[in-house]
Amino acid sequence: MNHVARFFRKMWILVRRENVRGELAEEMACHREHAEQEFQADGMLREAARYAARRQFGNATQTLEQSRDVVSFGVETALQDFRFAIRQLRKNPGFAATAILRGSHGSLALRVAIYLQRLPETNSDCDTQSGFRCFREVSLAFV
Amino acid sequence: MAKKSDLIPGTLDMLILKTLTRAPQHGYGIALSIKRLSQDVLTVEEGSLYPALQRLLLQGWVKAEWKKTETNRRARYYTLIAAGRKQLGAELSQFDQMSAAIGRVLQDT
Repeated sequence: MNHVARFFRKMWILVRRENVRGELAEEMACHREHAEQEFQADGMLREAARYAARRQFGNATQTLEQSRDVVSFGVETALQDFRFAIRQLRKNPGFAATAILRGSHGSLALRVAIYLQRLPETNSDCDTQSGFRCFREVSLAFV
Repeated sequence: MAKKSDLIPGTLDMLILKTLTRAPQHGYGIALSIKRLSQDVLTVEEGSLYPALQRLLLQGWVKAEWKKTETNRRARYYTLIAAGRKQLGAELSQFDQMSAAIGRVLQDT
C-alpha cells in the first residue's frame, strides 16, 4: 500500500515537476535569507551577512538536484540522458552524420561480405566460385 | 565549545520528525531548532536537509504547505502527520536499542 501511495506521489511530482523545482528553489532562497538575517542580527554588515549565508548554504544547485533526485523516477534520469545525447549530436551534426553513415555502411559491408563468403560453399561451379572469391576479397577490404 | 560534528548517519530523519512534534516548521526553522537544542553540537547541512525533507514528503510522513512567516514572507511549512508520528516511534525505539547495545559493549571491562 505504501509503495502504491509513493508511486502516485512520484507521478504527481513528475506531472508538476517544473513547479516542484521552482518551489524547492524558493524554499532554499528563503532559507538563505533567514540565515542572512540572523548573521545581520549578530552584528554582521549586510554584504558580509549575505556572503556568509551563501557560504553556509553551500552549492545550491547541487542541493536542488539532490533533492529532486530523491523524488524523481529512474526513467526520468534515463530520459534526461537520452535528451542529452540527442542535444550533443545536434550540436555536432558532422560527427552525427559520420557516426550514422559509418555505422550503417559498416554493417552493410559486413553483411555483404558474410553473404559472399557463404555462397561458394553451396555452389559447385568453379568459375562462379572464383568470381565470388574475388568479390569477397574486395568486400572484406571495404569493411 | 564542542566541535561541530556531523550527524550520526541515519539519525537525520528521526531528528527532523522529532522537531516537528512541537510545531510545524519551515526548513530553516528545523535546522535552527536542531542546532539550538543540541547546543551547537549538531549542525544540519542544507545539502542533506532538503533531500531529507523531500524523502519524508514522499514517504507520506509529513505534509507541506506554503504559509506566511512572521516577516510576511512565503515559506514552506512542514507538519508531522499520523504516519510520521508512527515512524518516529519506530525509529526512536530502534535508536534506544542501538545505543543501549553500544553502551553495553563500551562498558565491558
